[in-house]
Amino acid sequence: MPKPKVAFYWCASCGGCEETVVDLAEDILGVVEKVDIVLWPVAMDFKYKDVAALDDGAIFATLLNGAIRTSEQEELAVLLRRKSRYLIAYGACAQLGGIPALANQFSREQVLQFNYEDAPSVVNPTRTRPQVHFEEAGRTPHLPEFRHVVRALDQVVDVDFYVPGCPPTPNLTRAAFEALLNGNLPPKGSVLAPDVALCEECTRKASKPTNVSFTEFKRPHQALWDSGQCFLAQGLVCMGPATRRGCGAACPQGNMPCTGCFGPTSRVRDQGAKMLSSLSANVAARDEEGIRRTLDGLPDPVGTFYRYGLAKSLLRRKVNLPAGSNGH
Amino acid sequence: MESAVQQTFNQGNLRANAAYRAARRQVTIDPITRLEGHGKIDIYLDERGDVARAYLQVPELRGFEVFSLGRPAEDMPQITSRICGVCPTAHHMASTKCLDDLYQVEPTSAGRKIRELVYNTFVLEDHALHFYVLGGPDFIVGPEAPPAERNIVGVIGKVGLEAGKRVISTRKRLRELIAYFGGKVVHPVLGLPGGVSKPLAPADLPEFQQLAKEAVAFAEWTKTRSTSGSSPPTPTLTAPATWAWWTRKTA
Amino acid sequence: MTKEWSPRIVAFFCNWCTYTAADLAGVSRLKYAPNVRIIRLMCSGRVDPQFILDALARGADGVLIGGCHPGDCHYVEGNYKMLRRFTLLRRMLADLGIEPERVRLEWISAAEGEKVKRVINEMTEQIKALGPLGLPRKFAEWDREVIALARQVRDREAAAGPCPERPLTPEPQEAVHA
Repeated sequence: MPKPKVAFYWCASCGGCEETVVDLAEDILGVVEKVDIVLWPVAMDFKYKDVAALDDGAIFATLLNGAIRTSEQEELAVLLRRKSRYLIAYGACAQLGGIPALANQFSREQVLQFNYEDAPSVVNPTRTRPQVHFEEAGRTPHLPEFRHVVRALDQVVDVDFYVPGCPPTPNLTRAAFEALLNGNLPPKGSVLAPDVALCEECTRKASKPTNVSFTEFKRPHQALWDSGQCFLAQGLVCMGPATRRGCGAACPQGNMPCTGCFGPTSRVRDQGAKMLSSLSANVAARDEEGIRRTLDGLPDPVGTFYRYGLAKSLLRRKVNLPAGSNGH
Repeated sequence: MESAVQQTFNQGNLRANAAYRAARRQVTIDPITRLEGHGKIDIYLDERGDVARAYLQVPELRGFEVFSLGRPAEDMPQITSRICGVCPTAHHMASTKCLDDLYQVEPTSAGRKIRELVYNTFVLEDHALHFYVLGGPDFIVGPEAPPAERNIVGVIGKVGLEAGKRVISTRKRLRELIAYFGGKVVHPVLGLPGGVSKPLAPADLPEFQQLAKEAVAFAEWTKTRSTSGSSPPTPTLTAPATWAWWTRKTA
Repeated sequence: MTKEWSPRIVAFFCNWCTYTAADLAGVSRLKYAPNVRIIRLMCSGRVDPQFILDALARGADGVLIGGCHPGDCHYVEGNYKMLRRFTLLRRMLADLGIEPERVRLEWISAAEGEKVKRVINEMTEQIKALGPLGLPRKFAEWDREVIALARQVRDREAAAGPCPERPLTPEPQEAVHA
């Protein structure tokens, strides 16, 4: 009985999701015993052509992390979707767009211009930009197209399941593997993590206020934080109430608030809007001036509420940015 | 197409492409592997089989430099750590030092020590990752080995399961230390201007001191094994990569 | 021959005050612009920012929220919550490229049928001047860059087989009015 084939791939990614799989530690030996890894660029030498040579559906499961930003990433997503029975969006970037999706607040031109021309550390007197088409003496290396919009995986291909987190935890990963290998799967489209807010598993839950009234919002460096008390009760923004549990409240364990990387529960469509709603509704002031002054303590609502989820938010992107252009 | 026919077609297609490339004397490595990042290498050979030209193509761009604009400064250690999930601690710490500079503060003595402890721990486990999982297979298993063996599984096959487990468990405990201070090991949260977010409880100090000793011993052990004599049954962890080997001609 | 565009505004009116005022406007035969679709809620505090964003994402050119005057909320606090949410949401919408005038909050009491007329007429004119927001069309424009590629992959494989050794040549992007 041949072992089921498994692939790991990364798109606009940092490699942290790969590290999580490696952090299965000794358990990875068990995984390797049960499955046949056919693609895993961070750790193994299989190439794209090896994947292309497989039959359609020959890969039992592909865990794909990273957001989709280039045409090559789209191509690999399409290829892996075809070759895989189950395609799992692994990690916040694949599920929601992740931190790379913050680039949806800027235009493609802004990114290219700063990164290749204007940045203080760039030396590029000829102002050369990455070229999709390039030819030199008959040789044609090439680069993929850099898109205007950052996308989550399911905005490009059909996705079977999601494993949330930036990165996901080894426990969640282990559970996902077990569910897949045992055929113990929830309905297609499910997020493979508990469907309850983070507060439920946070050690500070006991001091979570039932009524909170913000007179100001503090920033993390503006006070010494009590290690046992709910951050919201201390006046610090914590995304916990709007974020799915499953990480063991890791960041609060590190004495810093949750930033929302597990995304919302299934009952919320737009995580950022929901948290904005909750926090601002609980401002103490009733007058316009007082309200405005308190809310000035949140200088970057997009970065705070949509740090991981801008691509999958209702608006997806800063809406007045261009969609296409002539050439690059 | 039927599966068997599809397979035959695919293989024929691959052979034709390989033949095409060989005729054009082009070697393509796509993607580059066993590192963090994306890349494709195209090597063009001349008639004698020497390298005429090689291109490294990096098909990845996310734009951190731009999408960080407008963010609160103290969010930057956690945003920049997403540049790399293998070395998030490095970005996190660099960002944190920027915050010290921005707010014109020196870290507290304890804060500094904790940062150094976390950072040194990270360097050790990161180097172990590179040595055993990323770059190591090139030396331990060797570049001639089939692709299916040029990886950590092949390394464990060579050095033995006990040694492999020691590598895995040491790294695991080191990463748990980082998570103690940073909340999580991938994308830690400890960095603040002038210090760190979480103190070291005195009761936990002895365990970390012990771990530090064991980690240093582990590093020494790696070094010893990699420079020991090459007679079996103790395999060396590094084989000399001579100039002659690297410059041998391809057919 | 396409119809000339006219603003489509979604309104969330609280049952006790603004919706009643709109009723009054109707009963009083006040004429006002027909561009507003009214959705009745029990309280302006029920307006979840997700509703506002969803309305815009589905094609609304503007969103109007009507609630009781401060101090008069049937549920005491609801309209204050709306005011606080609105304050932050408006700023965030500006960061996401949506003009602040497209989302408007008004206190309209049950007796102020005239105010309903005035506000709706004003807002319709304002949105007319701003032009359509057209998010569904924008989303479709944005997604052309992906659809083009999917089509290319399909066509290429139909011709040559499913091996990506030979790189795809991305189509040159068409000019699109932003």
